[in-house]
Amino acid sequence: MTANGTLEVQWGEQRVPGRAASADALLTGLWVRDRAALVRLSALLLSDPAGAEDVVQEAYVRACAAGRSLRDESSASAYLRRTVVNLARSEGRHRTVVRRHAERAGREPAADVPSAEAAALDRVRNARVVVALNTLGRRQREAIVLRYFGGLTESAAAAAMGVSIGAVKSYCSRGLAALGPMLEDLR
Amino acid sequence: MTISPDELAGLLDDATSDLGGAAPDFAPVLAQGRRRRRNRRLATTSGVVAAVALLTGGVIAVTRPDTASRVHGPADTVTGVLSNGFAAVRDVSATPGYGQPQALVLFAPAEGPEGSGPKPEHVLLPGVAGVRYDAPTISPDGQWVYFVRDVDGPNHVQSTVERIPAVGGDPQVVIASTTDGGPYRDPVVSPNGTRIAVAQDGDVITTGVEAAGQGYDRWPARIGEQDTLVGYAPGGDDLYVLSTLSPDGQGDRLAVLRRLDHATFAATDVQSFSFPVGDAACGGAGISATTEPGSSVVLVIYGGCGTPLTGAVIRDGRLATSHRVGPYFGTTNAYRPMAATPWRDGIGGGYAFTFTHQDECPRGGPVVIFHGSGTDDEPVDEGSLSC
Repeated sequence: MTANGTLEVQWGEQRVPGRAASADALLTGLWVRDRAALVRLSALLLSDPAGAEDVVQEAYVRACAAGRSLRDESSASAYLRRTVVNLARSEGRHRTVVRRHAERAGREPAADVPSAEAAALDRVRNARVVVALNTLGRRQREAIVLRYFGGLTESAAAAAMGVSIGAVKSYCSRGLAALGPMLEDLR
Repeated sequence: MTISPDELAGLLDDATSDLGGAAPDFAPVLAQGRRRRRNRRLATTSGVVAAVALLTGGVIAVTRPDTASRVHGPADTVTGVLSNGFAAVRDVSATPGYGQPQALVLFAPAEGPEGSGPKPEHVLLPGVAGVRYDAPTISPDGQWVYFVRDVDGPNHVQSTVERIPAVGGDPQVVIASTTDGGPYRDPVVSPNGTRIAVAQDGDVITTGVEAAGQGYDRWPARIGEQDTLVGYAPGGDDLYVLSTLSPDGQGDRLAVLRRLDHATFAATDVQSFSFPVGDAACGGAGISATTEPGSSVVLVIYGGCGTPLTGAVIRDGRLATSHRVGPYFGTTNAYRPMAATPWRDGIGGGYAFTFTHQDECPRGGPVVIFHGSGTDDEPVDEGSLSC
């Protein structure tokens, strides 16, 4: 405990017994099963979907590094989702910083090299629902995307976001209320 | 002016369909249910505590198996009332999805000498499409299970607070739904079982548990979306709220337990907790807290993503103890503390922390037990985990 009465806990060794026999096989299976869906999820979480594939790639790399702690398909899948959510947050912050620096320097930020998916990404970027998502706060957006696109239950979305189930309920409720007027003519 | 979840799901699916791949199917729900039931023991040093939880009467008895022949006496048996760990919400559909039906399940105490046997379970409310149950909480006397029922309506989520007899029966509405406003969250029952409080849109609503259709008090408590109603404070009027800060998951995360005054609605800091977030990709550590109904002891579990779990007990508004209660399993958010029971004998003493882990055990509801050993001064480095 510190002088100001705050409890602190330090890093400790991670002990995870009963781990699945092959984390590699586990992740290979999830690469086949979940990768495309995670790219779509990532594209909706990012304010600019261009980084979606990079985010998912990095998530799998980190999952490989964390292989020891991935006990089974369920926990590995949850780890990947959670990592995508967090990397998308970091990516969003990174891009904001790059843009501000570029604006300060009086030039446009360097454009990404056009990829084969450029047209598809443009379609995501310009979709009315994505434009509407861009007006939400980050957590509302995450909750909406995880619940209604990812099909996660409230508890799974809460685990992926690192918040309580009650918070997910609030974010979704307010997010839907905010999106409704913006998307009314699309229904 | 509103959009339904189904309509929004269709728009999101369509917007990303050019990126290829099938619609997401992230949640292997049944795989969890089929997972082999595990009973792992991590204890390596002397002194193993067995915690036997008895739902009937709400008594938790703690003793050591090496002295199991000893009848529970006043020194070994501590009464407490089981919290919401024994009531669970279960996803029942083979098809994952945001609207999948859920059942409300009550888990009775485990059979067997160390609580290692199967736990009889009772489905209180079966799954119904479009209906979700949230935050089941058992009353201090063990007679009722309180919960929030959320139903996707045409305009917004219709949210009600209800209760159902623990032995089964018809549910009763305790707080009716409102025509607007967000869903109810975090229902907590007072230590004497007569009052209930729930959060909605930043406010706290309190009423008598049998006040269905009658009036209720609404406190402008400014409950944030990162805040959680923990339970009633000693005295049974004020409330504990847990606030989590550092929302970006960078650096250390700070959580503050606050006491909300029922007369002024002012919040006073009781205890703060700081813990390293850990692997940023992992989302960092988490914290959850609850009170033991009837005693106003606040239990806090925190850690995660490589950080060992730590259990803290706050009694009478002051930090009573803080223990490392075990290694880390999965995502910390999956942990929900239920009870911390003090124990002491000739070898040592400490607290037995009991909590649920929604990922670790099949079917989302059973109990995980960690415990201390040795003396209070020794780090608690052993625990048993049983479903």
